[in-house]
Amino acid sequence: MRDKLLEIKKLKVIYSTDGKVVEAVNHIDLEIHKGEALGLIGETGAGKTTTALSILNLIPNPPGKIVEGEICYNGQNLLKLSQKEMRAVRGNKISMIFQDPMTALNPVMTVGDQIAEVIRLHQKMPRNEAYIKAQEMLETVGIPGNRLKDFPHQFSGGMKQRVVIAISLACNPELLIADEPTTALDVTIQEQVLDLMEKLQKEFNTSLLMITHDLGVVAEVCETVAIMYAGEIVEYGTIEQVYNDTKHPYTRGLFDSIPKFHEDVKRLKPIKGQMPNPAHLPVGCNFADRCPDVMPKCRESEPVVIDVGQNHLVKCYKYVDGGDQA
Amino acid sequence: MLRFLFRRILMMIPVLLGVSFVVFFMSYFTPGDPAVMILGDMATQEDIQMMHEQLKLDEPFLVQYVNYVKNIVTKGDFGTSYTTKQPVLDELLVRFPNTFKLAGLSVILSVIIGITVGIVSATRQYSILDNVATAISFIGVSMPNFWQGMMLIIVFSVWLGWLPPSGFSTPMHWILPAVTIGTSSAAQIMRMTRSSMLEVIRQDYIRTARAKGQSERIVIWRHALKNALIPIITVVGLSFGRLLGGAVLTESIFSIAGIGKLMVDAINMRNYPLVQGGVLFIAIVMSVVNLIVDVLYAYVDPRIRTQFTTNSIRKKIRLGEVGDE
Amino acid sequence: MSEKTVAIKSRNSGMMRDALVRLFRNKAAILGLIIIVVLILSAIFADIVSPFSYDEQDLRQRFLAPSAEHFFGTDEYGRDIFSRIIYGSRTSLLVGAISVTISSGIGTILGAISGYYGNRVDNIIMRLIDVMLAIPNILLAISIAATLGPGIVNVMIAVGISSVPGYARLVRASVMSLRDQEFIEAARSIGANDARIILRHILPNCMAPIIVQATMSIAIAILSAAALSFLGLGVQPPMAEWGSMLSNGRAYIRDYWWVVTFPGVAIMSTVFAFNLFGDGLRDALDPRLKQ
Repeated sequence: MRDKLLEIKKLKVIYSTDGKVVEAVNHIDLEIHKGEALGLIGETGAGKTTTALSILNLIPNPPGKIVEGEICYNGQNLLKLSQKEMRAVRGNKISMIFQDPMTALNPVMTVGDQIAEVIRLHQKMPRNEAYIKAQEMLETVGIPGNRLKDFPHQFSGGMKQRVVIAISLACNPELLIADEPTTALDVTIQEQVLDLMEKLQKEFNTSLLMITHDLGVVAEVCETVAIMYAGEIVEYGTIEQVYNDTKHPYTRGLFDSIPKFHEDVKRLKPIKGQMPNPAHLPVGCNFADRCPDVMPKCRESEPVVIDVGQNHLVKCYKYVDGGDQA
Repeated sequence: MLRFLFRRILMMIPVLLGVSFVVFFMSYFTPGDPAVMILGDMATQEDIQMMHEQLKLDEPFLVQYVNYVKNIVTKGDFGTSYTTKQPVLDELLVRFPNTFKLAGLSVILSVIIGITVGIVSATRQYSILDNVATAISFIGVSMPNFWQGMMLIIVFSVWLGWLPPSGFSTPMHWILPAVTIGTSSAAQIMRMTRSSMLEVIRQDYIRTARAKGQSERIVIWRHALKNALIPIITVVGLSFGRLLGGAVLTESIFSIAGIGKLMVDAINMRNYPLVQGGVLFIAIVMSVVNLIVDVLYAYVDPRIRTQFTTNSIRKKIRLGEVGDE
Repeated sequence: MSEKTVAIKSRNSGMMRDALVRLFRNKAAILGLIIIVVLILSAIFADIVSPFSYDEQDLRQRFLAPSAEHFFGTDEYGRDIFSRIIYGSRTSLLVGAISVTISSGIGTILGAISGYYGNRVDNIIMRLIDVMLAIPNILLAISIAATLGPGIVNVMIAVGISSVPGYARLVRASVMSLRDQEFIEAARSIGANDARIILRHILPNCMAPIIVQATMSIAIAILSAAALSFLGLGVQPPMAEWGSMLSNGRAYIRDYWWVVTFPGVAIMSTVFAFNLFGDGLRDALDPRLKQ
C-alpha cells in the first residue's frame, strides 16, 4: 500500500443561517494515498464541495464552520495551522480546480498575471522568471505561450479551464482537488480537459480528488471511489468493487438511473423522492425514505460503516450481521 | 483609443450647444433690461437706446443666440460682466483655480475616506463598525452642506478657535470647506464601495485567489477592488458634479473667491452674462470629467478596453467570444 | 381586459404583500417612516402643536438661548424658533411633495415616450436629458429659480424640473425592458392603442422603481429647496422656511449658535428619514439588491 497523503477523520461542517443549522458534512472519513486518484460522487447538495473547501480551510465563515474532525496532511492536522501556515499550503501543496471556469478567473488580470501570481507566492522567484514559468505552464496545458498577456474574456470556456489547470499545477502540488471540472463545459471539450488532467496527473505524479456527479468521469480517471449522500459517505472502494459489486442501495440507484446502450430500456429509473432537507435529517439512515430495501430498524438508528471485504466499505444495515438474510 | 477619444469629444459638442441654448434662453426671458443693468437707473433714454444697438438687443432671439455662440467659438467671448465691465471669461478664469482646488481636495478626501471605509465595511458586513459607518453615511448625505459649513465654523472656528472661518489662502483654510463639500460625496462613495465590494467578494475568482494561498489583504485590495471599481468610478464622476454644485453655496459660506461665490453674487446682482458664462463653463468642466470617467473605465476593465482598441473586424470576432459567456 | 393582465395584477398583489412584510422587518425603514409621520402630523396640526405663532415678534426677547419656554431659543426678531420650525415643516414637505410630483410626472412621460417609441423620438429626448445632466443638479435649479424669480411656486417648479432627468432615464430603461414582452404583444393584438398600452400595461409594471426614486428624491428636493431659500430665491418672509431661517441666522453664528443649528437639524432629520425609508423601500421591493 502506498503512503497516506491526506486523511479526513470524522469531519463535520455546519452552515448556520437565521438560526437554522444545516449539517452539510456529517462525520465523514476519507483517505487519499500518494499518486492515487479518488472520485467523490454525489448529487448536488450532498456536501461534496463543502468537503473539498474544508481541506483548504476555505469554507465561507460565516455561515459555514468546521465543528469537528481532523484533516491530516502528511500527518499534520491542517485545521490546526495558522492562517499564514495554511496559505503556504494552498496553491502550493494542495490546489484546487473549480467548477465554473467562466467565473473562476479574475476578469481584470491577464492570465499571465494570474498564473505567475501563484508561482511568485510559493517559489521565491524574480518577476521575469515567474512569467517564463507561467508561459511554460500555459504551453503545457496546450495554449500558445504568446497569449500570456491576454485577458480571460479573450478565451473560450475550455481554454479558461485549461488556464485554471495551469494555475493549479504551476507549483507542482502533491494533491489536486478538482470540483466538477468539466460540468460547465461542452461534451467535446469535457473529453479534452479530462484527458489533459489525466495526463498531467500521471506526469506530475499528483494525487487527485475528483469531485463529480458523473460516474463515467470517475470510471475514466480514478482508481478508488467514494459515494456521498446527504453529508455522509455511504460506500467506498476501488472502482471494481463499487462498480461491479455494488452494495449500497443508493449506489445501485445511481447506476440504474444511467441509460445503458446494450439494454433496451423504455424508461430510465430515477431514484424516487428527493434528498432529505439537510436542516431536518431523519432519525436513522438518511436514505431510508427513498430506499427500496428499507427495513424497520433503518428508521430507528443509524447504521455503522462495515467492511464487506478488502476495504470495501458500506454504510447500510443490509450488510450488518443478522441484517438482510437474502 | 485615439479614435474613441475623438468620437467622444465630438459627442460633447451637441450637448454643450444644448446647454448654451438653455442658458441663453433662460436669461433672455428673465425680466429686466440688460441695458438698464449696465448703465444703472440714472441712464437717459438715449443712452439706453444706444446700448441696445451696441449689444444688438433688438435683434430677434435666434439671431442673438447665434451671435452669442459665434462670439464664444470664434473669439472666446462669453460676454461682459455688467458690474465690473470685465470679460466674463477673464472673471471665470481668475477664480477657477480656487474652485478647482476646492473640488479637487474634496474629491481626494472623499475618495480616500469613502473607499477605505467602504471596503472595511464590506469585509466586516453587519459588524458594529459596518453599522456605525452605514449610519454615518446616511447622515452624511442628509446634511445640507451650507448648514454643515456653518456648524463646522461654529465648532472649529468660534468655539475651539482651531481653524479660520473664511478665506482660502493657506492649507489651514482649506480644511473646513473641503470637509464641508466632501462629506456627502464620501458617504455616497462609501455606500457604493460597500455594495460593490460585497458583490465582488462573493465571486468565484476571489475564492480562486484565496485557493492560491494569497493573503487576505492582497485578495481584497488587488483582486477584489479592481473589479469593484467601475460603479465606484461612476459615483466619483457624478460626485464631481455635486462638488461643483456644492461649491456654489460653500464658497459663499467660507468667503472663497471661486466660481461658485462669483455666480451667487452674479445671481443676486442680476448679472446675467456672468451667470450664463458660469453655467456654461461648469458644463464644459463636467463634460471633461465625464470624458475622463469613460477613459478610466477602459483603463480599469480590459473588456471595455477591447471594445475601444481593436479595429472593427477583430472587434466582432472578439465580441463573439465574449458573447458565449 | 385580457386574462394575462389579470394574472399579472394578482401576482403583483402577492408581491406587494411580501414587499410590505420585508419593509416592516427593516428597523431603519420603520424609524424613517415614524419620523415622516410625526413630521406630517406636526405640519397639519402646526396651529395646535406649536407654542407660539411663526411671525409673533417680540424685540425685547431677541436671541434668547434655548430654555423651557423657548425649546430652541429665539431669533433676531424674538420669534420662537421651535414654532417656526414646526410651521416650516409645512413649507418643506409641501415643496418636497409638489416638486417630486412635477419631476416624476414630466420624467415618467418623457421616459415612457422615449422608451416605447425608441429611434428618433428617443434620440431627441435623450439628448435633451444629456443637456440637463451636463449642468449640476443644484446649479440647474438655481438657474431656473433665478429666471423665474423668487417665490415658493417657482421653487417647486425649479426643483421639479431640475430632477426630471433621473426619472426619465429610469422609466425609459424599464419601459424598454417591458416593451417587447408577451403581455404587451397580447394587448396590442387585441387592438389596444399606444396610450392605453403605456398607461394601463407598461407603467403599472414599472411602478416599483418609480416609487423608490420618488421617495429618495423628496429628500433631494427638500435639500435643494433649502439651498434656494438660503440664496434668497425661495420663500419670502415672514413665512417660515428652514432654508431661509438658516440664511437669516447666518449673520449671527458667532454669538448665537442656536439660531442656525436647529433649522439645520430639522432639514437633516427630514432628509435622513426619507433616505432611510426610501432605502428600505428599495430593498423591500427588489430583494435581489439586498446583500
